[in-house]
Amino acid sequence: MDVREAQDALGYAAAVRRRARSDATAMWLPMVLFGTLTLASVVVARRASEFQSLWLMAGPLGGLIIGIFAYRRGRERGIEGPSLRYVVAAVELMLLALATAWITSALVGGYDATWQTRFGPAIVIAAGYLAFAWLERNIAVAAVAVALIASIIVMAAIRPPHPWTDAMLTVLCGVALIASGIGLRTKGTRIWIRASIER
Amino acid sequence: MTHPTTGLDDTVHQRVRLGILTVLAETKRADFGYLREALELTDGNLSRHLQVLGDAGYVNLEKTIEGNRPRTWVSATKDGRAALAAEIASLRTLLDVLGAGSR
Repeated sequence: MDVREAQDALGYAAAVRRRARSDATAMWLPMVLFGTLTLASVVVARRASEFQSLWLMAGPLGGLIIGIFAYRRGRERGIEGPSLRYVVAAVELMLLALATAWITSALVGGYDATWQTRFGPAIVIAAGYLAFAWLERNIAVAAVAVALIASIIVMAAIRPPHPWTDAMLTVLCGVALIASGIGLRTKGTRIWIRASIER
Repeated sequence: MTHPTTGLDDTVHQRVRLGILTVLAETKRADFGYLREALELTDGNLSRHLQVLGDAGYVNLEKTIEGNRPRTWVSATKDGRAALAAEIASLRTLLDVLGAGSR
């Protein structure tokens, strides 16, 4: 075996892996769904406690919806992805958010402690990005999560005085999620159309 | 069977079987029709390669009836996933060694 043969075999395996991963997962739905919930949370939840209550219900429910969608889509296409993992990840995230809220309130007193109120939502969203990056083995999503965490750290360091800044950060997260989801959906459709034409 | 000079597993190294195991390693299971389309194979060709992988204990076949239609689901076994991981690692090592040698 020579270098070209080994490269060819690895390249072929990588191409097949990309196609299978794209067919087995439906990443656009979690992004659009959780992006919409993120935007809704800015309008509905005024306090951190309300925000947590909203996500404790919406998170697992969203995970369940995504899991069912992924399962049905997988059976239809003939390739079953990790549908149960979405539900498990959503529940784990909610538990993580709850534990973070409890620990923070125990340390600094009360749910409306400044740091948690201002940056808690963005941290939960960043954790969501990380979970989906892991589920999909997607470096681009992991990069988004890291960028978001970096922006939270910068915001926490600068501590902008205007309360609207926090809401703006959450809105930015929501819009970024929805835009990424729509982008992935469009890209996925293009791949399918191109594959059909080539066939 | 292991290749005497490269240490590659001939069962996995064959291009189509490498493709089948790669697809299955990314998923819980895939059906016969999906594998046939994704890897651009004929029914007979895919059946033959699945038989080789099945005999080696690398894949499991599950035949079901869904809406009066027979459907064959294929999944990778633990051994199959390990064999694929070993194959990819061997190819990378080989590439490193050969690449270093040709420099």
